[in-house]
Amino acid sequence: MYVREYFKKKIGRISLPDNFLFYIWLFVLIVLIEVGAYGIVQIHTKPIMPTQPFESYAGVPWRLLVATYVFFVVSTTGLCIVSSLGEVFGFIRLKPVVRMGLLLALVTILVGLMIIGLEIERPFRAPFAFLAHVNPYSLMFWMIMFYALYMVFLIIEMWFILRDDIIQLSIRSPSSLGRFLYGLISLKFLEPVAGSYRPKYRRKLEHEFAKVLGFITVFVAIIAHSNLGAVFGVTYLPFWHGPLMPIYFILSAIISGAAILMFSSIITFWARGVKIKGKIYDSIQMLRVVLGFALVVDLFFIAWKFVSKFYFPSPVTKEALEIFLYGPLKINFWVFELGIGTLIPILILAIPITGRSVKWNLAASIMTIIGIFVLRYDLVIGGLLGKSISGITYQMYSPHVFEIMAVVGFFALTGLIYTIGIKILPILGTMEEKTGRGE
Amino acid sequence: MKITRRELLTRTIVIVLGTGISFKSTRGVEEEKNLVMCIIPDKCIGCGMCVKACKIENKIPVEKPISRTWIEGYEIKIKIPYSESDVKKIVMNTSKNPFLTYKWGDGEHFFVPKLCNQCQKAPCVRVCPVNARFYTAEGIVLVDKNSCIGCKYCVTACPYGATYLHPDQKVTDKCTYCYHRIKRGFSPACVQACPTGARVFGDINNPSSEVSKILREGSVDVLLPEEGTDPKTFYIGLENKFIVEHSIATGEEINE
Repeated sequence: MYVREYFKKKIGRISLPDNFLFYIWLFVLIVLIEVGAYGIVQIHTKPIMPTQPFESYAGVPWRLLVATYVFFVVSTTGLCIVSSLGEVFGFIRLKPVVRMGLLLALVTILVGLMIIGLEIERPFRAPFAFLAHVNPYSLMFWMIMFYALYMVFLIIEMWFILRDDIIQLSIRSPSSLGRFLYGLISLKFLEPVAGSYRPKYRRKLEHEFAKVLGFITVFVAIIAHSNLGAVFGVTYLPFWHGPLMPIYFILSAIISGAAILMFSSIITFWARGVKIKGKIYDSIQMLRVVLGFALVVDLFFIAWKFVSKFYFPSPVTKEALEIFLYGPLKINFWVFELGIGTLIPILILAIPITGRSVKWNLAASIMTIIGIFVLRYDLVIGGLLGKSISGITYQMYSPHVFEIMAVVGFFALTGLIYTIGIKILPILGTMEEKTGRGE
Repeated sequence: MKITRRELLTRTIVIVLGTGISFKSTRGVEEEKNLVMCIIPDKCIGCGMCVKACKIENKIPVEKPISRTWIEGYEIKIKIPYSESDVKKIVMNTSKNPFLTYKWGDGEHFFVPKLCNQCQKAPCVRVCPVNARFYTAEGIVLVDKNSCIGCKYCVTACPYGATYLHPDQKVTDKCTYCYHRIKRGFSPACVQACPTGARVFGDINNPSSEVSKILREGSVDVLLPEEGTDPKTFYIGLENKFIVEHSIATGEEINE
């Protein structure tokens, strides 16, 4: 690793532990998580939030945390879809990043459900309420149910994919605790033959089973995700209302998933000192294709959505879009959503010189992630700002500092769980062996 | 005619049960009320007594700009084309009355009291994920404050902006037509407090009640009929179709 060598040169004689950067990374993450926890506690203990109805005060009911939740669940669906392309639908070039994608999908759905669980005003009531008295006509109920189901399927699918390698780990692990835990996770005692040898047909069976489960998982993910789109789509708010909202959510999920997978795989390979070449490079290039394609489709989606609502402007739809075009969200829309989030990444990915460079790919994926996050924020806040029942032109919203702290904490939590997952699960290790040997 | 003991016993049971059922059914007919509220914007003078009465009766923080009922003061200058008319809106939802300090221009101005419309097809009831909102037998939408988890979907879904999050109770809250009062035979607090009779409350199934007469005679509107919510709060003789048909947002809100 370049950074470590640099530090070693600078600091010189002081002997550093080999993975001191890793510990700094963990330390930073834990500090940020504590900041987020402080923010969440403050949100729930002090009545700092604007709680007013629309009519009479400039307050919006769904705020930054809901936007973050949407971002996370969009990401998990997208990661699941992109991973399934590699695992289920035969995009073989994606193979090196499939496990990473599945791990990230699991992490983001866990954090996403945690965010929405802490965003609601009565967090301790919600689990009991969803068990005891539910309204089957409510799309929000189905959304939560399908996401929970999706999480269960995702865990089972990952278990089947990783099982063989976890069994190998349980045999090779240096510590007895590790051997015991890996053996427990992989349910090794069900194996007919002890030892590292496993008959080929069993591995093949597991693999086939994982494929079937992967198909079911991605199906449930899309159902859950289109439900989330419908939660917005069925309301009367002019910017949200419409049957295309669920479809749009699925499309933007692919963008989000491909960008996040590209970003985190490049970063992870660099951090673990894996050289990005050969099959790994091919997988990044495949992600480039997926991301670029989805971004182009998304551009048309945005364009025609705005044109169709602006062509014969009724006062209501016109006002809903004015917020984006030259209202309070104009910088977010033109600069972040369109410029940084869509157009520049398309250019970077399309031009061969930049598109084939891993660093430029990383830049494009970071830009897309920023753009998608702002897009989620604008979708939630912008739709509510245009709530045009009364004579109010635009309502104003700016995130409270505690909300921003909470969001930072949730992102740090994602990083922490992902790091731990990479460390303890055979996400990279076996793949390094498999691909490294061939070259 | 001879009656055996068994026959006597059966007949007695049948008669007792029959009277019981018939008694119950007549009582059911008597109780079937359809309670509605009529608002007559012509009579509203913007004094804000209804807002204060509601807040005190229902224990809403008086000085916070949230309210179960509120008054909107409009100043409208009609221009052609219609959508470019000059609309200004002032909202009263605390004990402070902004209508007194606002400098009224030469446009047409009037007050519209607003509250929960008690929709018969209420979006908030449909979207609530945990069944915390329900209809009573009188057709009034209530919030079960022990079930609400505070997801605020109802706040988003309500086209009238009539539902909000109670800052102290941390659950959503809205107008109930003062259900605790009307069950005891009183009228809602805002109706009682209104000095000009701009709010009329009553049973529409009783043809001699005041609301029945008003609804039969006046020109009746509901807010946002295009949303298909079937409200039970009616507006009589609403002068400006702006508020009914579009409720469009071309004006500015002035909160002083």
